[in-house]
Amino acid sequence: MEQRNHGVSRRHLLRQAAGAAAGAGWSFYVITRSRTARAGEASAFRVGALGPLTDFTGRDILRAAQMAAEEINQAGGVLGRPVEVVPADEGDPEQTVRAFQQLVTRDRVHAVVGGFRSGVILAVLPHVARARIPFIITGAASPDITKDVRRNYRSFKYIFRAWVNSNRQAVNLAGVVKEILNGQAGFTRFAIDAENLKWARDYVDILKPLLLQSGFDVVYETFHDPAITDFSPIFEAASRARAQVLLEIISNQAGYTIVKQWKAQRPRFALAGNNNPSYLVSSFWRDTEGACEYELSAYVKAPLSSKSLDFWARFEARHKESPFYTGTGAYDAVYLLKLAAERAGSFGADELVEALEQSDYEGVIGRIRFDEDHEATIPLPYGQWIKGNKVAVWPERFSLGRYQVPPWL
Amino acid sequence: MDPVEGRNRATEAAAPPSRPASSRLRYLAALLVLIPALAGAGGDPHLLTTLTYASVWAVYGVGYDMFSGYSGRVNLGYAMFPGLAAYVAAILNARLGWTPVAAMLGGVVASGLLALLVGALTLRIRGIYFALATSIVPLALGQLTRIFARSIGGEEGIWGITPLWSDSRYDLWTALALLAAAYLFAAWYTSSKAGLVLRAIQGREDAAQAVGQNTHRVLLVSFLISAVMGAGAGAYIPHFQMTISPEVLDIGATLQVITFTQVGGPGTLVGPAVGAFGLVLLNEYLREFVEVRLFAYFLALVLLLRFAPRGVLAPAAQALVRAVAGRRTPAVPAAGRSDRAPVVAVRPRPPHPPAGAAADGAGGRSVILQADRLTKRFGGLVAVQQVSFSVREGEVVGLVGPNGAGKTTLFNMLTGFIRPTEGRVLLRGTDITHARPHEIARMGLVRTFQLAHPFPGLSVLENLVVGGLGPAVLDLGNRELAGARERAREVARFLGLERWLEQPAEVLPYGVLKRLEVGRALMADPRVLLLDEPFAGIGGQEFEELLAALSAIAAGGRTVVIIEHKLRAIMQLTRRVIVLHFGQIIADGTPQEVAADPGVQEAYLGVGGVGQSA
Amino acid sequence: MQALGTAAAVIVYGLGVSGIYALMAVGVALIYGVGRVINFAHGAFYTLGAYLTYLMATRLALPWPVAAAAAVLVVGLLGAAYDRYVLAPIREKEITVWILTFATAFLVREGLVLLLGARPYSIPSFVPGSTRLLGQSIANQRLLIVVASAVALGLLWVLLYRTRTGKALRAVAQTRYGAHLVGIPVERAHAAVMGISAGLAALAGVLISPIAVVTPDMGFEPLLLSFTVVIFGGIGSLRGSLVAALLMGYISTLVSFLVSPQYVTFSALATVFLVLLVRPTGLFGAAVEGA
Repeated sequence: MEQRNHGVSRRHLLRQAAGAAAGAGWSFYVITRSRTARAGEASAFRVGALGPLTDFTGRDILRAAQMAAEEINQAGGVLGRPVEVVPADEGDPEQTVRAFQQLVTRDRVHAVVGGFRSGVILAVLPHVARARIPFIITGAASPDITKDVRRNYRSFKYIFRAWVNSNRQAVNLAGVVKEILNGQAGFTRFAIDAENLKWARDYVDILKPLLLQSGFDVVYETFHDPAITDFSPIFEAASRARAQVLLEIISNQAGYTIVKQWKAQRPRFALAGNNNPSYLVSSFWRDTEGACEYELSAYVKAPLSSKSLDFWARFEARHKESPFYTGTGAYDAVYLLKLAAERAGSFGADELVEALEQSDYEGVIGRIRFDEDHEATIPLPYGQWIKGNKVAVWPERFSLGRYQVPPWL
Repeated sequence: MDPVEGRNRATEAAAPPSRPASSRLRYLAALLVLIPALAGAGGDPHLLTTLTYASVWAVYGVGYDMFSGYSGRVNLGYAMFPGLAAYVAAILNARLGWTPVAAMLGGVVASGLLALLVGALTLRIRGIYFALATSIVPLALGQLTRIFARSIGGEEGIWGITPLWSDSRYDLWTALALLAAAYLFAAWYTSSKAGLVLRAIQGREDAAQAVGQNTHRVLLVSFLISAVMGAGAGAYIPHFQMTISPEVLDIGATLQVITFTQVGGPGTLVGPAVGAFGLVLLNEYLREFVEVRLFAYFLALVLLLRFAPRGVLAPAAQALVRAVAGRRTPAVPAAGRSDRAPVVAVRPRPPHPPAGAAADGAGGRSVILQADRLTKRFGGLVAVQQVSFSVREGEVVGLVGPNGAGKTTLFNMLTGFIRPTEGRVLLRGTDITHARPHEIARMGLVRTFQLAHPFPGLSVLENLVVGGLGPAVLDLGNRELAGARERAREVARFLGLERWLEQPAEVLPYGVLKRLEVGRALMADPRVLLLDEPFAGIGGQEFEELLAALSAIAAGGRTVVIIEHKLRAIMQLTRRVIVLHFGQIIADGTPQEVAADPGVQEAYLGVGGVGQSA
Repeated sequence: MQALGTAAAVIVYGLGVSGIYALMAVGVALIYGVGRVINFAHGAFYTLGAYLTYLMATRLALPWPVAAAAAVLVVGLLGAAYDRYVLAPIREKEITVWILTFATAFLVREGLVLLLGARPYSIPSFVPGSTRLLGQSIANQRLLIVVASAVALGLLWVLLYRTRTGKALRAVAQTRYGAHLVGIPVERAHAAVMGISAGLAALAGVLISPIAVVTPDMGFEPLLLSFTVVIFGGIGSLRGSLVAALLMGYISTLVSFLVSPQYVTFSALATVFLVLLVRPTGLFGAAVEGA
């Protein structure tokens, strides 16, 4: 048998060997090409932009970070050096850990911004602690991400979040329920539908007791698989429970499906909450063919600071669509890093951390200061879709109109 | 559809492993471990992590390949074993506070138990059904992690796991050590007795059972080892990744392992490992292309699989090694050339002391095989009805009858391949009616098949060797294998098969196959040999040779029952003939008596209504 | 009253879910039956159907139903070409073919992401509005799903059992070699079957997308479910796939309405696993040879 197999087709094997050699040569070329490409900018202030790059959640992190970098570079850079943004693709935990390490070891970034999926970012955290590189999270919302900052400061002080964690989002929504859905519309019976992901479970754990405390009824509560494509069973159950409002807590494309089916089936309840696609104010109406009308949900295109609307206008002019919230945060995060570096007079990680902790910055997402958990204290307004626009209704100070009850109720 | 066909096709596609891993491939494997170990010494965390993951995937590949590549059963749920081990280890460590090592052991044990359970439930299913049944388990486990999200982490999994080492270099070395251990063990295992039996099972599971192999046990043990191998690496993941999430259980993870295997070259053990390193590194270097990375990766995969369906890396590496290491390599020690020379007695055994006169057949000897009112109905059809007969030790009995008389069905019932509807079979007084085929073969009742069933992909020598192997799955030191090889050569000499010893069985002329069929049964050293039409389809010189061999076996005192249509063979070999017609015995006597029986003449001449004359 | 409404919803929705399952599962069963291919790229055809409908309607300004029909046709042709040029040359390497289809599924996904972005696209309902049935308001699109899938499956049945082509295809499914001997162009039969299956999958994708949204990932979940259906019914058995689609459609609908949508996939998997243990070949598969 030995003989037979050896004899089989040397030619075939040689051809494959040639193929393998060609493949090896190609990858060698790719490696060397990348190495030389990086070498030229050895003196830049390098910021990694980590996010799911094939998705709007990560793509806008990169776009906005690059926008900030260009502006800073035009204005003379940071400590006389240009800012360079290095993209890194977020995937599953295994892939993302490697992506993060590549940023640190090969690209030698000074800091990282972005990060979207909580579970994935939690997997990266130990590697952040090992690498000792400041990481400003602008998407992932689980409170657990910053839990170790206080408990194990020496290792985890590098973690910051320029976004609202899900606990605070839940407190926000409870406020919206009280002031708007109950205060303006008089609703008292609520159903909760959250996707079965960590941040959303954390969210519900805070939201539900708050609603009950305020004397409201939570008549139905469910978690759906993130891959859900049909909400009718949930609508049916919520209707059966005579809910007046369905509170949605959704971070993925199910956010499109839920409003489309809500419009098509006209269940007898209003829809409100956190729906990530609904943050995309320039496209959500179009992409749902207006089915989102009367949905009330969190969003960030509001005059949160003097810079906000100007930033939105420039971003939309350039990319023909509005940015996702991960992008607005990333834009601010790059500026936060710039200011921190200037305050510290250094790109050193520990110096940057110390300076970041002192931040008090008017960003496009509002006035950013970090508390002792390294969480930014920023507002998260709510708007309602009316005739193609998301109209701010909460909080009071941004409000442009009153909440309108869906007419079919 | 036809499940039999399904099985055969899956079998043929599983790329029958060409041979046990050769020593040169082991050098390659050693390089595979050494190069990353040296490369990683530099301490670049990204490279270290990448190589660590590649090593872990390589262990999965080896583990998957050592079962599926050799048994031909595609385990589409393979990732459940490393995945479960990872989860259990993570929970034990992060939630219950076990030390990393204890948690990892716990994870491996849990996976082992899962493998026993899943294996016991699914291994009796074959072909595509096995693949699909195994694929469902991890999908369901993945769903469970989501349903019990609050206790076991859901989509995001579990974090806060203690790393085994604080230095990534040790991580790589640990993973490489796991890989080396897995590879060495798998290489030994697949070239040992168990590997041979697995390949036999891949070819013809029933024929392996017919020579006494408990195929279910061999499969289960191999399945378990393959699972534990992956589990060892899987349990390690949380202790360097420091988190774990349901992706590790996903069918995507298994498909990834199979991808590495197919790209590297299945059934080679080195191939999957090379494939894992090659593709993991490729994926890493494609990061240059940012958002085009995954597209480029899958495009490369599609092209690789389409244009090099037999795998690339291992075959190419083999060619390279061959080109570099020179044409004249020392001959691999051929099978059985061991100089320890315990020549087992030539089979067939020397004649039993002829107690009675050999001439009167088996007059005074004890009954060895007895059929007691055996009946088999298939739906409304009665294939065999109330058949009773007994065979005495040393007797040679012919079983004849027109086609469709129920002869083969009778054999199938005697050897446990078919359960009789009624009646009993006794072997030396023991009731074996409900025994399984391999148990019956072990008790000394061994059959051949009408259509020769050699093990494809195995050489003639290997075919014979499988016939002579004992029941134990593990054969430390390969002693049993060496002994069986010696005997196989003797049997081959006896049957005139020496010329073909190294040929793969599937290319043999039909007459040789029929002799191989007899030889394999002889290797099991049966007390009673059931031959199902050994002369069918052969003639001339081959007929004479086989007749001479069988005569020698008969003269040697072995009990034989032979189904045959060729009259001359019956006349020369037997002293007693049983005639079966429409499932009933219509005559039982010496060949001359039977030939003279009017009922028999009617049956063969096809005159109606004879069946009742028993 | 409420319970009655739920019962009505289960009946009507269950039929729609079953219809989609059936369209997908029949294709999987056909491809396996004729080509012995486990086609992991089947979900990609579903996705492509929806995308092509969107593109043809918006870029070529075709009316939506016309775009949908054209998309189904194009995907069918794509499927046939895929079989002819990608799978046929390596058909003997069964496991390589499986893995290749798996890689193809991801290649299509990544290709769509690159070309059109990961953002979802929306297709309007082909028949807007809703109808009151058994006291329950049902979107017309859901009724269209039931009707269209029934019609498509009916046509398939006619093709397979009432035409010469169908007879030839079934002959190939029984025995490749035998079919070859009697002069049936076996390779063409493979391509035809892949084309038909791809078209059916595309139809399923087109029908569902007005209810959900069009995304590069939309095909993976239906792929999984159609596999469970096919295993349930007995892989390779068309009749089995249809019955199993109906059963599974109602099991999922019942579970999602009465328990929670979260348990649908798990209950489907558990059901199928139990069926496999009792009858490894599924409800309508041939019995497994002894042992």
